[in-house]
Parts: sequence; structure tokens; C-alpha cells
Amino acid sequence: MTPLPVVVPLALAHLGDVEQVRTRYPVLLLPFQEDPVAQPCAPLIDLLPDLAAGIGAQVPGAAILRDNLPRLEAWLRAQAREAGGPIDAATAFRVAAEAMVAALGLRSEPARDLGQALEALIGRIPPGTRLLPYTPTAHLHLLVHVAGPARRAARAAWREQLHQARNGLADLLLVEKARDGGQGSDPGERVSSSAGAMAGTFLDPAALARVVGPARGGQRMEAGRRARLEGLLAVLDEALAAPEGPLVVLVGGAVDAPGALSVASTDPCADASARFDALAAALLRVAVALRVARLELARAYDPAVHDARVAGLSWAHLGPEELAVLPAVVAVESADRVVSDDLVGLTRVLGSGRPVQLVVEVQSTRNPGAGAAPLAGFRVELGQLGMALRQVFVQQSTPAEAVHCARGFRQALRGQRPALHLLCTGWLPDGTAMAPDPWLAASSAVEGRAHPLFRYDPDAGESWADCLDAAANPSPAADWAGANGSAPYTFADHALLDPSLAGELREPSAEEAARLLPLHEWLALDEEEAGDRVPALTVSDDGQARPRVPSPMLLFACRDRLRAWRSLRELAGYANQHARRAAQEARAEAEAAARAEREALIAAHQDELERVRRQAAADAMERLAAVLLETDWAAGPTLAPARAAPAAPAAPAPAAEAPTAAATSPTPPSPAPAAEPVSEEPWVDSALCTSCNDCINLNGRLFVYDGNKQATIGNPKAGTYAELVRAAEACPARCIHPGSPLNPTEPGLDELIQRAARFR
Amino acid sequence: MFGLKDDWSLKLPPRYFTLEDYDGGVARWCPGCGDHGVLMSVRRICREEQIPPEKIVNVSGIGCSSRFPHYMATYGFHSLHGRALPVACGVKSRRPDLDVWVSTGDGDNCSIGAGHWIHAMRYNMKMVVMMFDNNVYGLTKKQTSPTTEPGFKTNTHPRGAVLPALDPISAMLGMSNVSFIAQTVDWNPVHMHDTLHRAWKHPGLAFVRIMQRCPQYTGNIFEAFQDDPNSLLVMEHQDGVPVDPSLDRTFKNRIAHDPKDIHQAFDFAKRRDVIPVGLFFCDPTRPRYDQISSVGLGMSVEEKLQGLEREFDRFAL
Ligand SMILES: Cc1ncc(C[n+]2csc(CCOP(=O)(O)OP(=O)(O)O)c2C)c(N)n1
Ligand code: SF4
Repeated sequence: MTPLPVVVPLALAHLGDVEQVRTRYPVLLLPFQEDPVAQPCAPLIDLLPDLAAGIGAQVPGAAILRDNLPRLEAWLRAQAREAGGPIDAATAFRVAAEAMVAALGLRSEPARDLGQALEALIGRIPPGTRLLPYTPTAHLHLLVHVAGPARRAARAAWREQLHQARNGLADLLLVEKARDGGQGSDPGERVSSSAGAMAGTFLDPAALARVVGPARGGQRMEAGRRARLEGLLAVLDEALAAPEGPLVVLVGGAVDAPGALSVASTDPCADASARFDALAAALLRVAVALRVARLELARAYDPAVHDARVAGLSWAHLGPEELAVLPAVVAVESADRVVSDDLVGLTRVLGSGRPVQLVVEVQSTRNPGAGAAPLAGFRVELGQLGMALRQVFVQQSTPAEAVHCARGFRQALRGQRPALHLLCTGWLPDGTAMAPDPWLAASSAVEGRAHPLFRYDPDAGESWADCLDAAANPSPAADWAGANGSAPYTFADHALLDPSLAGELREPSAEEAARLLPLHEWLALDEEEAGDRVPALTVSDDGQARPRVPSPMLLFACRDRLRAWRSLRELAGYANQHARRAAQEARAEAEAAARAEREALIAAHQDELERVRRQAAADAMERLAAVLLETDWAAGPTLAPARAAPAAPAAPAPAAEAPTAAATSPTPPSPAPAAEPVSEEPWVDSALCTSCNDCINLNGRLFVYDGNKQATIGNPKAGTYAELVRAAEACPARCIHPGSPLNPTEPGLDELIQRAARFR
Repeated sequence: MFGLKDDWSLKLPPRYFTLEDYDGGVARWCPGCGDHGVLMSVRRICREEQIPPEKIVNVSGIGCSSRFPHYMATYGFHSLHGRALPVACGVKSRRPDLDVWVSTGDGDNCSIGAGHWIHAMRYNMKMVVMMFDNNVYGLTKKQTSPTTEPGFKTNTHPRGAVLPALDPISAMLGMSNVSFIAQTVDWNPVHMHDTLHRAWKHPGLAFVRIMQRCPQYTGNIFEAFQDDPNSLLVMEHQDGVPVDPSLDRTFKNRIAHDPKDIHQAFDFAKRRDVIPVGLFFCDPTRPRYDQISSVGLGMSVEEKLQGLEREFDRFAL
């Protein structure tokens, strides 16, 4: 149990035990997908219900699992917290599941059912998913998670290209070697020996030698070209033989993650630049070799023209595919150090155009470079500085909002620009976590406009509206965010979380008491309007709501944050109410139109699907009834295709004829106009089952109980149609529907179908 | 705020109960007997509400239906014929913390237990009373019960019952201080579950008459009602028994009925063409004798002696 500090923002006072707060961590790091809109990660709290919802109600333990999801969540939270870094999700789920089942102390049957439901749940976790707790390096883990796999994929494609070029060159040289003529040996053998182990794989040396050997004449390669080709081959082979380097290089930051190389540094900006240059130079050599090799293979390389051009190439000429092969070079800095010591270094690296990622850890309650008076003076808005450089991708985010942060990383890494990531983590510079909890503190920074979220992507378009996106902020159109009707959450509320600012709030004097004005109202006035009113923030002090008067420095900081937020908001297009309203209307219209279109498409698609299924079912009934019916069964009785009247397999039709008839008919038989679909498969209206055991006693494999102890069909093939009909007749709740016979050769079908008719 | 959901706190009850935790064994009622379904409904409600089994007492009289407590893995009291209610009231007045469920039959409750019935209704102690009405004495093999319809042949009336049946709903509507009267049928488990669940939430004595099939002795008396879903008149109201959407498709015969309207309740109770199901009458504000009789339950011997002394002092000269 971690109680709240004595004085907290009023909005947090209800949280009580901090450990019990269901923060949006741990986060599931989802496996890499090429699709740029795919989710790179998802909070456990969001994904867990989705995973559970995917388990059908017919799975016996599904209900117990759903009841106990919060318990599973608690075990997973505890496990992630203890691990202190990413762990394999499936393993963590399994451990949590076992612990939970053991702690519940269920009897054997429900324990087994729950175990099965948990297995089904775990089966729905994409393989390779990891669980990330909120730690001081969560942002670096997110970065490596987003950068690594994409680079690995790019490298695989790149190696493939190198291989192709290399083999092309080798073949050319092989033929040339063969032309050299040998000392008495068989020309085929010569080709073979000069080609080395590869020869047999890619060509038939003997045949090749016969075609192009000296005996047949042919042009000899000029010595300069041959030397060039050998040189290129050597470069490509060297590149292919080199061990795979790191996927991400973190300069000045350290994180233990696969593919990440951490490099200590006292000047991360400069060191990261130098790193990038070295890596890029090495890549350039290979990339040039590859380009020249391609020209050579196309017989298009002209030394007179190309030699000079090749010599003039630098990393700036590397294309996106080539740059994607380089490790992501990341400089990890603190805002405080950058602003006090190295603004020049920062602008230099960002202005150089090198695609270096600059991760700057920002303190939400202390102005960077401010020293002893953390809120005195205007805050240097590093984000605005980044945007002023115009060609830099800038994001202001927090790992607390994992999806926002990870998407920003991905967007930045996809471009070929320098990127500035200003991240607020909730940890103070000395490594201590902000109270009451670092995740809450980082979220509070966003809520209190101390650290508004935004992304600026120069590649996104020409206008500010295209490039700047601040929509992820709470109440983006308002000055202060405030949860449903509660008081606005100001910067002063957020500042309460920094104990070093405790002295910036005092109790109002008795004389001031009558002149108090809520802080957010006071901030909305200019000094003249405010007159002699005294701004007061209501805080929770030991559980009691009490007014506190902010110091002039804190008031100044509130105004400063508000002004910075307003200008950001204006740039992002939230300030102009007219424009906003017009945009909203247009958007609503467009959305409505799009929705209508989408719905029409979905409906058409559903119809088509339904039609195809119906037809397929009708066709297949005749041939493969048993097999296909089982497949359809998974869709559940209500989704069962409406029976197409003529296709009813009441009388077993000759196997080959019915499908042909269905296939040649241009329009499918229209669904029967009956209001309720008549199912082909047997089904039980389980909600109506009274658990009388009658059907189960008749055939306990055909009928089984679900998690509610209500009957449902177990295996439709485990019994006869006669049993289905008998069960339907015996069922006191009339909830068994025998459907149509699966086995057209079962004796006495005509009579059974007649008896079954009343249970349609 | 902060992307936190409304249920921002992880408060976990220490234990979790499954259906098996309420399962006292395989019920020995006849196959197809309606009692099986009632048992399942009650177990389900207990699970949904996660009531600790040791906090539940099932009390019954004598009859087939009165075997109910044996099949619940809770405390139970299989008492004497007609005496389920006095025993249940005794339990509740001494242990108001316990969850009391009463199982009784039409014979058990309306013949030999009728005297206790009136008083228990008036005491209005918080409990659920389920009257399994199969229109016959089942356990003793087919004698006429108060709810047997005239003309129905039994061992005691081989040429058919002679008197008009007793109507328990109308009877209760006339009793003093009643607070909850509902009716349901065992062959509609969804409605039965929801009725019993609504009864469990009622702050007072909630009486539910369950039309119960006895394939053994009353054979097909409900068959016509079972075959025609429209023969169930579903009473609907926001304060009544919530009607599950899954019933919309089949049970379309609905009527609005405010359970405060006791006069309309009488009208519906008299209907014989249909079986009205749902909540006839409910008044959650009626006084409860369990609350009155349990005052001072936690007093120590000293406190009691002091109290007595104080009383005696009033007579001192
Ligand atoms: C004092 C007493 N009188 C008579 C009986 C015999 N007896 C046992 S059960 C029963 C009637 C049960 O009918 P009902 O309450 O409708 O229950 P069902 O068996 O139909 O569920 C009778 C008369 C008895 N056990 N005790
Ligand atoms: S006799 Fe009737 S009431 Fe008794 S168990 Fe059998 S079916 Fe049920």
C-alpha cells in the first residue's frame, strides 16, 4: 500500500492507495508489422478485455475468466513491476494465470475450465509480444521496439540485393576466368575451380566453358574493368560476411534491449553525429559498390562519366532504402544540460540534416537551465525551437502515453530527417520518481499543460495544419483540461507533485479570504481586471479541500505555460472558433457520408458473403455435408445461413448433380423470405435450458453443458439425427432444434424430419 | 482524467465462487421435473452475486421441492411440513446477516402452512420465498392440493377436484404488510432467473410463485402454456422484473404494469386465459420485523444486565 502524499491536487484526492491505480501500464509491445497504421503497442488495460472478448461464450471457463480479468490484470501488473523491464508476454500471462488459478482455489472442474479459457486467451496474444512496465527507460524501450524490427526487415531486403549483385559480378568474373585458358586441364574444371564452391549451385561450369571458352573466341574483359569488378566483389563480400551490427545505437543513454548498443557519452549530440558519420561512411562504401555493380551488370558503367560522380558521393546521397539499413542513431540528453551548456550543439546537429534521433528528457516542473529558481523567467520552449528549424521532425510526448510516443518514434524513423523527441518521464533528474507515482506525474504534466503533446512533421504537408498535430491533448480547445465538470486542472495543480515547490503555495490570510478567486478564473483575467482579487487553488490537504495562494513565481509560471499552450494550440488550428466550427461541420458531413458509404459497402459485402456462404453450404451439403457443417458450426446458430428452400437435403440427392445446378445458376436462389432464419445445423437455445440432464443423459457427447451449466451442442457428429429428434421431444424447455440430418443415409429419415418439423 | 478509466482502482474481493461452490450434489428429482431449473437459477444468482456459501441458509418444509436445501452447498434446514416460514423467520431474526432462501410447495405452504404464511408475509423479513406450484402433492404421490384446478383427478379426488383452486396471488394481495409478490414459470429459465434475482434484491420478504411442471403427477397441465409463448403475459415496468432482450423474439405478449398498482395486480391475478409473469406488487418501504427484532443483538451480558437494572429502577419507590 502506497498512500497519497498529504497535499495533492484535488483531482487526485480520490485515488487512495496509489498501488491500486490501474495506470495505462504495463504496455504490450506488439510484434512489428509493415503496415504503418498498425498499432506498435497497446496498454494492457485496453487489450485485455479485447483478448477476453474473443473467447466465445461456449468455452466453459469464459465466464469465470471474464469475472476474474481484473485479478489476471493485477497479477500481470505485479509481475511486470517486479521484472523492471520488458518480459515475454505469453510467459508472463502463463505465470499470472497459474498464480491466479492457484490463488482462487477453485474446485477441479472449474479450475480446468478456467485453465482452458486462459489457454485460449494466451493463444490470442500475437507471438513475440512483450510486456513493458513503466520504468525510467520505458521511452528508450519503446524507441528500440519501434526502430529495431523495421531496420531488421530493411536489412534483410538489402542483403538480398547485395547477394544478387555479388552473384552477378561473380558470374561475370567466372566466365572471364574460363576465357583465360588453363594449363592443360579440362576447361570445365577450370571454370569450376575458379568459381569455388558456388559454381555448381549457380551454373553448369562445363557447359559454360564450352560456350564461352577460348576455343570459341569471344571478347576478353579489359583489365581495368576486371580489376574494378574484383574490387566491387571484394567490397560486397566483405559487407555480406560482416556480422550484423546493432539496430539502434544509444549515445548517452543505456537500455538493455535486444539489438540496442548503449554508448556512454558526455556530449551525446556531438558524439551521435560522429557515430552517424562513421556508420554512414561505411555504408556509403557498400552502397556505392552496389550502385556501380548494378551499372556494371547492366553494362552501363562508363568510367569517364561515373568515376568522378562516384568520388563525389556523400551520406547525403544515400536513399531511404539505404539509410534504413543503418542503425538508428539516438542521442539521449537532458533538457537541463542542453539549455545550460549545449544549445549550439543541439542546433548544429538538428541543422545538419543528419537523420539522428535526439531524445531529450524534460522536467515538467523545472524550466531547463533555470538552476536554483526553477520557475523564474520564461521557459525555453525546445519544441518551438525545433519547429523553428523547419526541417526537423519534432514530437513532444511522454512514455506514459505509450501509443502516442511510439507512433511519434515510428513517424520520425520513417523520414530521413533529424528528429527531436521531448519526453517527460515522471522521474526527477536525480533519478527519484515523482510522487505519487511517475506514471501519474507524467500524465499530470500533460493534463496540466506543463507538457502538451504534439507532433510536427515537415513531411506531412505545406501548412501548419498539415504538419502540426496537437489533437492528443485533453480538451485541446480549452485553456485548461478538466474532467467532466470538475475544476480545471492547472499548471499549479501539477506543480503540487514536485515537493521542492511546496513553498510556492501558502494559506490565505484572514483578510484575503473574502477576495479569493479560483486560480483558473484569475488567470483568465489580465492584471487590471483581476484588481485586488487573490488567486486561490483548491488543494486536497490531508483529505480536506483547502484554498492555497500561489507565489508570484508560480503564478508567473502558470501564465507562461498557458501562453505557450495557447500559441501551440493556435498553430495547431484550435484557436479560431469559426474555422473550428466550419471544420467540424464539414467533418461531420464527410464522416456521415463516409459512414453511409461504408455501411452500404459492409452491407453489400455481408450480403455477398451471406450469398456465397449460402450457396457454398447448399453445394457442399450434397457432397461434403459433414465436414463443412462443422466449419459453419463455429459461426453459431444465429449466424447460420438461411436455408435456401430448394437446396434442402431432405432426400439424399445424387452426389454430383446438385452442385452443378447451383454453380450454373446465374443468380443464387434468393433467401427464403421467412422472418427467422431456419438453421441447417442442430442448435440449442441455451438460455432457455433448465439443466434437466435429459439430453445429456441421452448422448453426452452430442450435448454438453456450457459454463452456465446449460446445454449446447458438443459435437454434432457424435450422434444420430434420431437422437437429436428424441432429445428435442424430451426437452422440457423445448430449446433443442435438431436442424437437418447430417447423414443422408440414416434410416427412417423421412419420419424423423417430419417429427423435427415442430422444432424449427 | 489522465486516461484513467472510471474503474480506476483494482479492488479485488478475496474469494471467487463458481457454480460448483454452491453445488450440493446431484438432485434426485424426477427427470424433467421443473425443480431442476429452479435449483440452477438459484445457484447462478448466488454465483453472480458472489455470495459466500457460508452466508446462505436454505430453509424448506416437506415435499419434493422441499429437498432443495440438500442440493445447495450452503447451510440448510429441511424442517417440518408447513413450517419452512417460521424456521426461516427465526433464522433471520437472530442472524440478519445471513441470506435466507425458502423453498416450499403449494401443499406445504397453502394447506398445512397457511397459518404461518399469513404471519410471515406480515413480518416481512428480508428473504426470498419460492413456492414451487405443481398443483399437486408430489412427494406423497398425487393428492389434491389447494391449487389443484377443479376436475383434475387425484388419489384423494378420483373423479376430479371439486372446489375452485386457491389463488395464492390474490390471497397475498389481501394480506397485511406484504411487500413483494411475483410469479414466473420454470420453463422460461431466463425469466425465472431474472424474477428470482429481482426478488433477492428486494429489501423485505419477496414471495415468488413458480409454476412448476411435475411430469410425474400433473403431466401436461402446462403443456398448452408451454407450446404457446403468447399464453405468458409478461408484465413490464422499470420497477418490475427486467425483461431480458433474449425473450423479445418469443415472448411477445407484454403488458405494462406498475407494481405499485395493487388494484391492477388483482385484475391480472384473476386472469385464467394466460399466466401473468413478472412483478404483481412491490412496496420496498414496508416495515421489516427482522430489523426491529434484531435490535440489541450484539449486546454483552453486562449491557443486558445494565438495561434490566435500568428498567427495574423505573419501578423503585
Ligand atoms: C405433518 C405432516 N402431514 C403430512 C405429511 C405428508 N406430506 C408430505 S409432503 C406432503 C405434501 C407436499 O406437497 P407440496 O408441498 O405441494 O410439495 P411437492 O411434493 O408437490 O413438491 C404431505 C401432505 C407430512 N410429511 N407431515
Ligand atoms: S413427483 Fe413431480 S414434483 Fe416430485 S420430483 Fe417428480 S416431477 Fe418433481
